[in-house]
Amino acid sequence: MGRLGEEARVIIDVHSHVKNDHEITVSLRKARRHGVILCINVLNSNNNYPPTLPTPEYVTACNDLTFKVASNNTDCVIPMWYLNPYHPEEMQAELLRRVKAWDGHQGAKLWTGVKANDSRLEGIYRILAEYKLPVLQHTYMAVTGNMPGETNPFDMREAGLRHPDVCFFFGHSGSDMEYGAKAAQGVPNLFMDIGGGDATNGYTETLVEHAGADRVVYGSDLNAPRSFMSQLAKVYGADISDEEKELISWRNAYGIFSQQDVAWSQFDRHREAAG
Amino acid sequence: MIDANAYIGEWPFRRLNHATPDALLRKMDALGIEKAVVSRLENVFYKDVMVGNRELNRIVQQHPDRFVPAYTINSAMPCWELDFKRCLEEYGMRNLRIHPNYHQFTLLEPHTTRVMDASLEAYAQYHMLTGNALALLECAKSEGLVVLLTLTLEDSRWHHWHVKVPPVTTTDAVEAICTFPDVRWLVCTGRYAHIGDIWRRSYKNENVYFDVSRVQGPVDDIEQLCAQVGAEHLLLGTNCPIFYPESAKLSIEHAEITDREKELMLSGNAKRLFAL
Repeated sequence: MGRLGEEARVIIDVHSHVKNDHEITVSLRKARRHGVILCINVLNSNNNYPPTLPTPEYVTACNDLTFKVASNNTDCVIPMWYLNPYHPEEMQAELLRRVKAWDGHQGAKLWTGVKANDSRLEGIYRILAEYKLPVLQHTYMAVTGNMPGETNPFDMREAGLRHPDVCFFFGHSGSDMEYGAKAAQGVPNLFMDIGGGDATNGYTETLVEHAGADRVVYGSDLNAPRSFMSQLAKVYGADISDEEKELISWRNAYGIFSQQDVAWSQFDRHREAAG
Repeated sequence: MIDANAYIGEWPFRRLNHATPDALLRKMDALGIEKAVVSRLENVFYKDVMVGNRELNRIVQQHPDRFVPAYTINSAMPCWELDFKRCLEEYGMRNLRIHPNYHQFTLLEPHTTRVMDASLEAYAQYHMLTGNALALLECAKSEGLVVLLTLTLEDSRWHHWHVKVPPVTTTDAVEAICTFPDVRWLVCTGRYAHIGDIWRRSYKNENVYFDVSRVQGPVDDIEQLCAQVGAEHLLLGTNCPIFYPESAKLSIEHAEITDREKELMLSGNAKRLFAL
């Protein structure tokens, strides 16, 4: 079985992780095979679950690996710089340093150190807006209880409203899609990431109905612990139009990253390879 | 292709696509699935599972070439033996579906020592009834039934505020398998880590099979499971209509495994297990 060529020429995955050489090798091989551009961030470079509150040094080590993976695979990787906003000053410096050292498309990923609507994020949001960097924010709504510092859909909505100049990838769409979909209504800078969670029937239709197909993006949450196919099923299995599937699988993310004044050479190469 | 784990029916917490027999058949046609092993989804919640079983029997009678029934029995209910007997004698039951967590019975023998930790605290919710699970499984063994042991239906973190049902633990599954090693088991909705765990702790019992409906990562999940468990013990199961059936299908079709392994998972194993 070859690439997913019949379903889509190119896919942009806004939410993927790697944490060891094996995952890097397999993920990149499969990404190329299926025509996927991976927005990658490393949360744990030593193969363990990340600490509750990663130190600035830990974050830097993870971003070093993200930089290495992105540098060596510019045809299919967009780096998403990892930030723990529990350390706001250090993270602003880390983000600025990374942004200035990278000349391709890029974004950021916020750790669950504090909630998305926490005032400690103000400085980071200013940088994100200035450089037009989309930011992936993990969100969850567990009936069994959220973790401390974990952003729920209510928090995400508040952050989106308070920072209309920042483009948010609403990570996991809140996990419980009904909460996420409703929280995103009327907030145009919130883009619903379908990555993570079981391939729950009706997931994508719910997001499209409430947020709109132009605000849903494909993410896989690859290796944490998801796969490409289980999450692509949320696109291909959804009862939505082909045009809406195309928006979700790449067009929306393409439009977001295109706000950065950077050539899409990687994307064009990918499209050519995809035939 | 044969789907070894599907349902027909409604779910109390949201409207589902493909819930009716016709809708499921259309989806199966679109995906190239010839047959599906189905249970009545309402039986997860009905106290009288015979209502759902009767409906299931009627549906299957109308589509005998497409649907293979797996009837649900709740051994925590009075006179479950009569339900079992009726399913055998009137419906010709060959496959038994059990939901120990939703039906509040345990598969553990009473003497089994449990290691409880904080994450398992909620487990007590369904451990409080001892039920007659051992007797039910003894009956299944005597009749040579395939037992579909469903670990969960959906992620328990997304459950309704007032209906929080923890999944069947791998310890329960292993205990049941090891107590009844001659029963042919299809363990449904195990995640990647669950399957490896159950397989190892049940001493790689040749009678144990797993569906891959909830194997949804990491990136090389199917390849790793084929290496650990063997393609001979893995089946296409979709958990439809709770899940998008494309998840399991695409995962197998695009896995970096041999055509032979894919054939076993997509249909060969199901044909053998369910004698189709």
